This record gives sequence, C-alpha cells and structure tokens, in this order.
Amino acid sequence: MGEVKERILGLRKERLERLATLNPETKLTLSLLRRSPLAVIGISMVTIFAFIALLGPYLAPYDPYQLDLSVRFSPPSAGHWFGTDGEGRDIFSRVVFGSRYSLVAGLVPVISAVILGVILGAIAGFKGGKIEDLLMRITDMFLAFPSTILAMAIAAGLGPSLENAMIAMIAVWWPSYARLVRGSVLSIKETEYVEAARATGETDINLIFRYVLPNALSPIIVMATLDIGGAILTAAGLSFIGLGAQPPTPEWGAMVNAARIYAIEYWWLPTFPGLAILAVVLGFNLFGDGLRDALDPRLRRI
Amino acid sequence: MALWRYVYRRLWQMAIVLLGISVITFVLARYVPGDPVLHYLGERARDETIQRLRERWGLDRPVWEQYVIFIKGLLQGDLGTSISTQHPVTSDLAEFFPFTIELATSALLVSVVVGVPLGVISAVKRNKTIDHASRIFALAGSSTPIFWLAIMTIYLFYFRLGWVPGAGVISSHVQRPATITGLYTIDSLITGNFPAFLSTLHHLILPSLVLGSYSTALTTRIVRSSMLEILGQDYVRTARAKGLPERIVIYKHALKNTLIATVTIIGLNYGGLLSGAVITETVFARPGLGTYSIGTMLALDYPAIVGVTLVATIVYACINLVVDLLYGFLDPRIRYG
Repeated sequence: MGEVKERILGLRKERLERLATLNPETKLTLSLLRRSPLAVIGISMVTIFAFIALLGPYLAPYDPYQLDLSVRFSPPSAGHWFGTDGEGRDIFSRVVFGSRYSLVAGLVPVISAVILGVILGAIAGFKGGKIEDLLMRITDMFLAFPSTILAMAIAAGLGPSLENAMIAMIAVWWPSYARLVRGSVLSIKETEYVEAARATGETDINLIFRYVLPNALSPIIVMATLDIGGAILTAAGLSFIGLGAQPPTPEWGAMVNAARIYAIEYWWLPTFPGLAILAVVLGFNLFGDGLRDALDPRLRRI
Repeated sequence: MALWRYVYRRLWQMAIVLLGISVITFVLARYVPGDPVLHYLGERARDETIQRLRERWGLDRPVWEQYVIFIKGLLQGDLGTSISTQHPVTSDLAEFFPFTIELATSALLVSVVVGVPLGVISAVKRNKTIDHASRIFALAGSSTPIFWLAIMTIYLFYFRLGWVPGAGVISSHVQRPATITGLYTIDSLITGNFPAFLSTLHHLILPSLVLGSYSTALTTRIVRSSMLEILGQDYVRTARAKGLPERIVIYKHALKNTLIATVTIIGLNYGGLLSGAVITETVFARPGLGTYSIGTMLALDYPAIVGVTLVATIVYACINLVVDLLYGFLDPRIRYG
C-alpha cells in the first residue's frame, strides 16, 4: 500500500511532505530572497499594506463609519477617490481601514494554527507510539473533511463574527501544520547532533525546543507564508456570505457583499474593496512563492 | 485480487472516518452557543412552545441518546427533518446536490481544458513570453476572491454585454426537463428537450468559468512545475540525445509522466469545487448544496448541517479513493496491498 496510502490526502499532503524534505540546514537569509525578484515585489506589497493598516487614521480622509446621505453613490472624484457607498460613506477611507481586518484575519489564524500544529506535531514526532497514533488519526480525520464546509459550520455555530470566523479557520488549518512538523521532527530527531545532545543529558523539552524545532523552521515558514493569502481570501469569503465580519464594519468581504445589489448601477462600490483583496493576497503569494523557490533546492535546479 | 482487497479495506477505513466525523459534527452542532429552537421561534416565544418543540425535535434527551437515534436513522437512510425547509434532509440533498455536481463538473472541465495545456506550454516555452503570461495568469487566478470575480463578470458579461444570463439555472420561459437524474443537462438530453439543454448550458458558462478560475490557476502551476521537473530528468536528455523530434520527446516521454501530478490535482480540485461552490451559487442565485448549506447554517438547522457535512465528506473521500486507484493504472510500479 505504501506510496498509495501516502497520497490518500492528496496533494495537500504531498505538498507537506515535499516541504518537509527541504534541507533543514538552509537558513532564511536575505541572500536567498535576493535571488527572487518576485519575492521582493511581494514583500514590498505586503509592507505597503502593513503601513496602510498602521497609519490608517492618518491616511483616511474621512471616518469610515461616517454617514453623509447628501453624497450617496457619488462616483470616484477628487473629494472621494473611490466614490461613496449607499449611505454616503467614503469608500477610500473604508478600504484603508479594511486593511487592518484583512491583515489580522490573514495573520492571526495562520500563526495560531502554526503554534498549535508545531506543539502537537512535535509531540507526535518526538514521542512516537500511542500518542503519535492518536494525534495523527485526529489530523487524518480533520484533513478528510472538506475544509470550506467545516469552517462554515463552525463559524455559523459559534455565531457570525470575524473573531469566530478566525477560530473556525484555526480549527481547519492546524492539522496540516501538525503533519508537516511531525515529518520534519521524525527526520531531525535521528540526526547525530540530537543524539549527542541527548547523550549529554538534555531534557526532552530542551531537545525539542533547542535542537529539533529550530532546524524544522524553514518549511513551516514557507507554508505559513503561502497560507496567509489563502487565509485572507477565506476570511473575506466568510464575511461575504455573512459568516464573518458584519456590516457596517469596513471589512473588504463584507463591503463587497453590501455592494452586491448595487453593483450593476454603481460599479465602484464592489470594485475597490475587491481590488484591495486581490493586491494583498497577490503580495503574500508572490512572497511565499519566492521563499519556496529560494529554499527548495529541487526547484532551484530547474 | 489485491486491488479488490485494497478497495474493500479503503471502504472500511472510510466508514470509520465517517463515523468519527458524524460524532464531531453531531457534538459540534449540539454544543454551539446558538439555540436552534429559539432561533426558529424568535426571542419572544412562550416557554411552553419552546418546551414542546424541544421535545418534538428530541433536544430534551441527553446528547448520546440523540446520537444513537441519529445513527439508527442513518442506517435506514434517514437523516432527519430539516428545520428550515421542513422536508426530510435526504430529499433536500437529492434535490439540490445535482445542481452542484453539474456546476462543479463543468468548472472542473474548464480547469482541465485550460489549465493542463497552459501548464505544458508554459513549461516547454520556459521563460518565453507565453510562460510569463501564463504564470501571471496563474498567480492572479489564485489571488482573486471568487465572490468579487463573480460580481465583476456578471456586470461585464451579463449587464454590459448581454452575452450570458446573470442568474439561475435555466430560463423561466423554457420548459424544465422531467426529473430523472436531477442533472438538467442529462435529463434534458434523455427526454430530447433541446431548448432546456441549451438554456442549461448557457446558464452554466459564466458560473463555471468563475468557479473554475482558482482551480485552473492551480492546475496550470502544478502541471508546469511537474513538467519542468520531468524535462530535467535523464531519460528526457537521453531521448533528445538520440535525436528524437522535440514533439515526440514532449508528448510521448514527458507528458505521460506528468499524469500522476495532473490526476492528483484534478481529484483535489473536484473535492474543493464541490464544497467551494458555496459562494458561486450564492452570487449567481443558483440552487445547490452551497446555497442550501449557507441557509441551513445561518438558521442553525442542525439535522441539515450534519447531513450536508456527511455527504460532502463522503464525496470527498470517494474522489480520493478514485484518484488512488487511478495511480495504479497510470503508474504500474505503484502496488496496492
């Protein structure tokens, strides 16, 4: 069965295993990134969005919640760069503030899933035996779920809000990281330097945190970077179908949803929040791709 | 036969996973903070009404007892009654699922017909203009929010250009095909109702292009990188060195070996498309599993939620099984056992 079984979980797992075989000695250095101009473009886009999110109140000309019925549905103009929506709110200001929700919804679920996955995956890989079997069966179970449906069910059950949507995303994403980390830990714990450290009487905790995990970091970072874009899309999608941020929050997905019924008459309502999502996700994807190409020696050779 | 033993064992494993998933969804659906009864009756319902409904839905019993009742029903093919539609969940699923199958299948066709050739060309013409164009397309495709793409394309192709219908599954002035499989395309062909067939296809074009955009991008990327990896292999160099025409090297030696990766990504896409049709169905106002699941989830309609999740998981698992079986045909070195 061997190889076939390894493919039960499809490409998702294949990607995990491929990442797990990255050379653990490879360090994330700037010189690696310099080889990939696209990654530099990606990280610049992400940085710009981070600044927009941080400086939001200084950049936005209006309060994102401020109603002004006298200017409802104004097309883009010098006064309102991206126009105004059905309640006369300034869309540019709302897009600027929306970057905060988007970055949080992209980073928090992925980082939390990484932490959870790293802890459980490291325990499974390091301890082996019954604990490993149990943990891996649980991850199999989660990976056998269609993740969109599961995330929707959890978000709906907890009550529609952006926080609950993020909790749902963590629940859906940690198993892939647990798998990835377990794979790396399994190969690293057999290396000689871990053996040597064990011989000097280091405790298990110390072995995991000081000797094993630091060397398993690169694949985790690559996968996390690639996942952030997906997380932003998922969070925006959940908000769009009403299971995430609720109106009048200036969240991009919720804004596009509110704009849906007016889209045919007032094109600028859905256009700008959607373009913002596209740009920030593209930034993270470019960065993640570049990082992977730089770290994966097999891809570099091609 | 080893193959049948393998299939048999996989089906058993699937049953165990499903049992686990039924427990997870069941417990999840019961322990969430929202109360379906209150949600159904509204905040101002009288206490005895609430109590009566609770008893009727069996919510006054301990959870394990509710689960046993649920499993007993499940073994008889009964998933309970949906709160929001008041129909048996199984008949709701039978009504809505075919629409989703139709949409997901045509989106999958788009991703294969566009994504595979694009990936191959991109790899063969590496670093040429067409390669750059297809990589940009693939990156943009995997970064675009589907709901936004849906709205913008409806604006352009329906409202501005009028090329395609903007909503629904079939024109209202066309007679709907008699239900045989529930799939409008198949039913209309069987009954010879060609206007219905054409109208169904016409309504499928835009949603399947939109839904398929992400999978197309993914397919292009995977096929390209798999093709590049294979073009770097020694046997390809040998084939070139012995003077074979480039056409033969690419189509006979390299392309065949990308099939494993291609089948993997197609299987993965199909599972993703079936459950990811939610947003596309909503924007295009199409009936289907997606619109049904959003409606039931927002109403805390737990029998329907459990039903949708189980069906989605079964389909997902079956697709994975088919993909695994295909590996054996594509690469005889892979053994089952």
